[in-house]
Amino acid sequence: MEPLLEVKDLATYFYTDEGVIKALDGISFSINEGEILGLVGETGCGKSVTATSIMGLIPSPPGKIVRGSILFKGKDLLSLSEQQMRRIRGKDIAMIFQDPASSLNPVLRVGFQVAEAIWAHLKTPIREAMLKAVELFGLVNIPDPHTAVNRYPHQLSGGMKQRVMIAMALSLNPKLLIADEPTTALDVSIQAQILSLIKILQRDYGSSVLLISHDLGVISTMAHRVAVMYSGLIVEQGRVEGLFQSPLHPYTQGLLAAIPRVDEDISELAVIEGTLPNPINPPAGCRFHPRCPRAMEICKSKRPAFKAVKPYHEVACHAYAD
Amino acid sequence: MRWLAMPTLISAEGLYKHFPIRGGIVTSKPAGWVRAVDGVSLSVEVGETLGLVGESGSGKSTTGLLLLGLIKPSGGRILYDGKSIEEFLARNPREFRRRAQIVFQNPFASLNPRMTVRDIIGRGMKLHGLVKNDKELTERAAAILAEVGLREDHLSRYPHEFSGGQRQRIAIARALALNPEFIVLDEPTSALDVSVQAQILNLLKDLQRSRGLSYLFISHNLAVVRHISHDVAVMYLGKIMESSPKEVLFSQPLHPYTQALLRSIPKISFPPEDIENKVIEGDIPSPINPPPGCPFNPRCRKAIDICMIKMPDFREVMPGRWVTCHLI
Repeated sequence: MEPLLEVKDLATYFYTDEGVIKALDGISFSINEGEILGLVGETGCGKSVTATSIMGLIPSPPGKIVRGSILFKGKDLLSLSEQQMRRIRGKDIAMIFQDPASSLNPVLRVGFQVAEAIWAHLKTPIREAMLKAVELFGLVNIPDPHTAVNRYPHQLSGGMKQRVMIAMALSLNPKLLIADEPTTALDVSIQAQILSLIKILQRDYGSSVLLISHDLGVISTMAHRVAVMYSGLIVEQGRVEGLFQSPLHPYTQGLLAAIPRVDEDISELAVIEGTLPNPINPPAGCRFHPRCPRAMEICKSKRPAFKAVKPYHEVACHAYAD
Repeated sequence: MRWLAMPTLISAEGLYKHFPIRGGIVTSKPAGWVRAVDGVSLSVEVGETLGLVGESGSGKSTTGLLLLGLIKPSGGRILYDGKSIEEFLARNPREFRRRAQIVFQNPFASLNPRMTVRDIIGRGMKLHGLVKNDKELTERAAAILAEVGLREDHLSRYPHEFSGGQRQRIAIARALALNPEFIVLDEPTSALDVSVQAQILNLLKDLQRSRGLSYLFISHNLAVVRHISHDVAVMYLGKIMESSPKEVLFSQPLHPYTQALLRSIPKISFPPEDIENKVIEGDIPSPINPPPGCPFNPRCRKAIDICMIKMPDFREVMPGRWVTCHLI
């Protein structure tokens, strides 16, 4: 089966006064139809830049996609004009952000904002689009949708605003939903509600989801496959069970050992020594080598290639060379 | 596991804090009250950690500020080392401020960007007269920096030169500088990445062991609270719904809210859990106009008639286990 989205050797740089930030430095992954791919990593690893690169929303200058391709249904998004991209954005690929409050226009009623998106893409008369918005609000479990469409963003709670964003994303039945930390700003009891909505969207509408999160529990519960990012690169990817049960990359192993668990007592948390590398001048070779407990001589000079160590489980690490 | 019950360092009984909502411009009469803390009782033992968990707006941070005497309660009392803190503060405010410290969530906001690390750490020591001269101040500041895992040459630097994790170490060093007994840690790792969070949590545990510190650890993250606490109190809309020793709270939660909360957290487990079964329906009610009866009743799957009318008492249902629920 051909993947819905295929990212190949994507590199996005930001040209700043301090130097060139290599936010993404050649990442490759794919998402199949109806699949949820989880993208995990710490601050500054390039998770969000991946999302904005796919959406064609990298601010330029200072940003620039310097190489690679993003194939969506076989078509390279990077070769499209801004006008063509606008037709895809929202309709074929929708996105929800971490902070729903800053994604909604504060002076427009939320129902109108959803209706406007439908009108803009499908030329549905606004009155009809408003009815569609009411229907969508019901679908995402917003109580009393007829009243809710007439509210302004400030009258809604964070969870409700995120539901509006999901309703907007759903309105055009996108093939791919990019969710960038969709529950990070929400309380735990609200988080489960929003995650379950995304799951329903994927299952009942057959949408694919790129789920970006720093929360490994969220990824484990939601995703089919997962890619782990470190300093602008993917270091490991595979099916969720395999990757979380027997992580291969020393970074993934360290990350999993560093998290306190709510269902388990851990006497001492493992610590990944050192700090995240400077994105302007990342270490040569494997970017994790200065912090890696298993670093060898070769790690300092040569960037490891991706290698399928097990079925559906690839890692970029010299420790797994033959 | 604890073999001996430790003496209590700080305790609160029936603590209230209601904030007025300002009315119009003309009238000074409040238009209503935000019941941020609504009858909280808790205690922190010497050398131990009480974890205070809850969702946003549950009153966790207000409780922390009340225990430090930084805001005045609307009702209830707080005992520190057996003495009322009101009296303590009236008689010897400096001494209380020295003994009880706080570390905030955001180390990007809590450190003065115009002060060097030496001055940030040393200021309290100077004001409290704990050092005789500048030389001694530098020495003590360097020793404390070493204790939190930073180097002596960091003393002359400014906060912007440090990463989030390092800044939080500086904030911890500042709290330690006065040799406190009690530290309120208000979401100290929430702004940090997981790999850095682990470093800070380990540091806090080490410091507790070496200095015999007592912590009130405020967090919305139950996994972090499980890791660091001896006892845990779960707050919801200004009330403590359940409080007990950590071991039993996580293995056998009694309150329907604690149960739902623990269930709703996505865990790393295989086969993956079904997220749709984990949902707590509904939104957190407003603390301005909480529902009558038990504040959790509109979302509680087990609610019965009395829950909608009468607020349950906070009572000890088993030794060491306190619950606010009609059903238990």
